[in-house]
Amino acid sequence: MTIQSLEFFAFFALVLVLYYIIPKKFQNLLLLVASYVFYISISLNFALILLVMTLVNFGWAHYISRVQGKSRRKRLIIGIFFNTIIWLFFKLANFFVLQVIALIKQLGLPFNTGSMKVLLPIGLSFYTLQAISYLLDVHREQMPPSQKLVDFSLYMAYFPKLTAGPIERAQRFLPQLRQSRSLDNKSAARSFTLIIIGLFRKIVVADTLMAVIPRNFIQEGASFSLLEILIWVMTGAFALYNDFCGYTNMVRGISGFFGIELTRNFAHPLFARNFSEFWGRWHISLSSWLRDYIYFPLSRYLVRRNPNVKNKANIILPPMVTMIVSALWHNPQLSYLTWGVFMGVALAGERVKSAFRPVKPPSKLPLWRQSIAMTLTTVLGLGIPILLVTHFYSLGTLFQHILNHSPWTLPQSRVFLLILPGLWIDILQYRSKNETPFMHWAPITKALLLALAALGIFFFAQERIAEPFIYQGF
Amino acid sequence: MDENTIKEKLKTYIIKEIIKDEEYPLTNDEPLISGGLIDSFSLVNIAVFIENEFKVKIPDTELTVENLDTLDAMASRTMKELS
Repeated sequence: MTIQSLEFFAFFALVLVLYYIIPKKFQNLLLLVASYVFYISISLNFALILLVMTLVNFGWAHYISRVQGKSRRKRLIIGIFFNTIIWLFFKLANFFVLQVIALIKQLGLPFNTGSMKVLLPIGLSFYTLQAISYLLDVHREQMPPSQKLVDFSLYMAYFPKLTAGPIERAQRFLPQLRQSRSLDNKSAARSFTLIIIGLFRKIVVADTLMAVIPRNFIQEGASFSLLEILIWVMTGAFALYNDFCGYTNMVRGISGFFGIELTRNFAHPLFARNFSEFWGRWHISLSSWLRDYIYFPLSRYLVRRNPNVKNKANIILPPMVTMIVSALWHNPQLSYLTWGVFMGVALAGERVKSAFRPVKPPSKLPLWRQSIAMTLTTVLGLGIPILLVTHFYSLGTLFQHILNHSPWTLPQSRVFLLILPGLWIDILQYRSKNETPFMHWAPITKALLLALAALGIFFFAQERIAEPFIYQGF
Repeated sequence: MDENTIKEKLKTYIIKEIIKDEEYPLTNDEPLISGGLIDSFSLVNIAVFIENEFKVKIPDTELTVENLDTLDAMASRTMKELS
């Protein structure tokens, strides 16, 4: 079942009722059982893999904590290696399987290749990072290893965040499981609002935008102008943002009903004025993971060796390595690697500027300059990556379009109408510095808005079969 | 070492090495990270400065806006490690 489906909401409603009926000491166990029921409904094999990884990481953290010095470090490295190898196997397996299938067919061997596909377990990339951060935090003595297998298992398997994050930290998540949790009117209203915003972003904005984008608009012979191509690329970027942000809103809202706060994943990335700010606002749980476990340790090592802020290695290596790891985490393919290098160069470029000249905070720039900066950051920070990742092998055709076609024709105006609702939500949230600004509006306005949102969700959901969330594929 | 001394040393370092403007009127409660004066790499430079100057380490996972956004917050966090 997918998170935006009726089956899931029926499942969620049942779990929620049970959650508040049973004694509080059994709430974590109930959530754990529900999480595995949810995951088994997707695939029993996926659930078994998660179970194995949970048990190994739970035990290994204790194993790490029993020693000090070089032995401790060695055990940590083995633990990280185990998690990484499992993840790599499933990420790369299909690539190699396809080569083997092609070879078998070429040799004409009588072999049934239909069953050879290796499916990437949904959520593996996300809970693998969780496991690694847990081992690192235990190793660094920032937290003791969890004494409760149920709690740790829930940290790994918690169903609202299992399929596509947010990537939680054990230091933040586990203490919530030890506290008594209840639901008051304010929390319930906020959680409900987040779910509605999420559904609206996903069904009305993201899925509809994805449906209007022409397939292969950069293909050979396509008649789109350069401006149209740019608009379709940015439309894809808006769709991706609303898809993923919508997902995060929904799961945070769902989790809110259980009294468990999940990490916020987006903070108005469309209003970022430079790439550093963008990565502080986009997929925050992943970018903060990369910052804390790759960028900062590498930077600290380099700065200790040479504290000069103008040192080239200090400027270039941390952003480049971090963005390449980020790209390969998404997908170990050349197109993603190119995106990672592009973003690493962009971030290093920003560092060069601030290493040599007095810093001027973006907020102190004139509004017109901030607006231009926001637009450029969105186009380059979202549009270029979308282009690289989805049309990498058509870039040559794109350059031919640039040279041969008139650049000034526009697509149909409906694409702008579809972008506006998502943009309006972002503007409201940014200006009010509140994820759920509608909660403070007059009751009649709230009721009207809710009715419109519900109608929109209902009618747009009838138009097409629910698309899976894009980030479930990573 | 008291918190005010820590604050002064941090202020001198940040104005000279990070902001690179010795005339900058940095106040103790000015938001440095959320205000865009300091980026994440500069945070590392400050963290290493704190290590070398005050002999304490602030863990990577605690180099955050919540802990280090102002001079007041940085000094307070450093004092916490010292004690």
